[in-house]
Amino acid sequence: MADLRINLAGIESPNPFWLASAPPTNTGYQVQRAFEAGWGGAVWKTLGDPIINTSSRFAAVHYNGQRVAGFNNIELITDRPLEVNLKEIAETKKRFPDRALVASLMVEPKREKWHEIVKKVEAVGVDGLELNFGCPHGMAERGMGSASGQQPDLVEKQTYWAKEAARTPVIVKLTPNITDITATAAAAVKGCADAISLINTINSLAGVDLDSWNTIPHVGGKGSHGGYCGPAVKPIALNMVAECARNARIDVPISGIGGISDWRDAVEFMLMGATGVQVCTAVMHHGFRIIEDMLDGLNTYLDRKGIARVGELTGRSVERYTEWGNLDLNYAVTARIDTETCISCNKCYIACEDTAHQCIDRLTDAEGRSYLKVREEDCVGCNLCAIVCPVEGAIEMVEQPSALGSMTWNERQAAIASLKRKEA
Amino acid sequence: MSEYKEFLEEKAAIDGYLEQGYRIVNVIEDLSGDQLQLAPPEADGYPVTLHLRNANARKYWTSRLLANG
Repeated sequence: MADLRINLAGIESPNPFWLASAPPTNTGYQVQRAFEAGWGGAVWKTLGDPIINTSSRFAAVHYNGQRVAGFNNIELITDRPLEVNLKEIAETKKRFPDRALVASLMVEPKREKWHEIVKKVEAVGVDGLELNFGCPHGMAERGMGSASGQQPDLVEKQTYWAKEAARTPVIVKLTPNITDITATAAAAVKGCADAISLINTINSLAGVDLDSWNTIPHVGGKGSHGGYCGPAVKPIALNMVAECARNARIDVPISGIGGISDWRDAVEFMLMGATGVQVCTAVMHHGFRIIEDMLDGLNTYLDRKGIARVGELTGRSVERYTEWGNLDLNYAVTARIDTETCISCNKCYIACEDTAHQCIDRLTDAEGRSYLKVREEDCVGCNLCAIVCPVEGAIEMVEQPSALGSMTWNERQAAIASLKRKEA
Repeated sequence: MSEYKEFLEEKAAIDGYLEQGYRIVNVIEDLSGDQLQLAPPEADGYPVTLHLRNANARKYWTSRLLANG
């Protein structure tokens, strides 16, 4: 059994799995049940001036039989008075002193507002604070959430104000609704953040009803953009985490968020630089007890890899993530179809012929049976045939030896520049 | 003609000149590909320009250039 404990900027938890600030962490009842199930930490649903919610709040995108491939919500921060939340936070911390209990905060971008809420929340014994600069709907129209999270100067300033009053670690939660998330991440670091968490939800409209022409969801016939999360956003989140992790200006721990549904997803985020992860949609879909599989799976994986401490995973793949210009142009793979397992559905042939490089031939063998064969010399190694193939392992991408040494685009252009200098 | 055959033809042209002692001295990259300029080994020889359209050929000559320092 590996050691699953993590320490995120001074916040300790018995395992890297936290509940993200969201409906599952709305009350003490919920968070305590989550801790009973085994969650290592929880970020309490965002505290601030209590809001009023709409009825009809969530929507999901189901894709080809997969329920909740993506999830959309227009729910806002807590609608309960601060003192009610604080009482339940104190009770929860008392019952579960070994779990990480972090309070998510959102107030107007005013120094005294941040000081006030930080002091009140820390007084009940939270382990840390998460500044919500990410919610894309409802609060943004009031100058909070992503409205301030999209402006690096406001991120820096508000982080600094929170830090002026804070005695516990401050995590800054970032919005993905921005061109370059490293700009706001760096601003958070400049404002003395102890850690960052990402991503919050992505601006979205889940759909339009083809019969009523109403938005999905709609509130009495009108809709508003919401925040998108769930498995569909994982690649976007993973990239943003990796971009922050490999940026020298962002030298603080990362809490990874975005479509994490199982232990495998969590490991990917940790390899790309996250110290721990936060989960929401998967819990809303399947309940708190998914933590059991997550813990078992992570433990088994670490044992299989001979890794004693989960923290050893953090950042191990970051150096493998780089600019396109640093990729080896002479590296080559080509597709190979295993005719024994191929079911001749022709999906690969159609995909290659219609949308790729026309390098799969339909042939007939001596017995008159048709089969598919890749003309390897014309294959560019795009992977499309293997991606569309319904039979696992029927198409393998095989590395091709190259007589030429490694050459990146950057090296190529440097060589050309050198040639031109000599010519001049 | 398949792109692979196009590559083989352009590669053969590059290899042929390099084997004769030609040196790559300049390239003009434009919308049609690379105009690769080679200088002859003899002082009184004629320079040649290869128009390389194929992506692998454009990759190949720079790999050769890098390999030769």
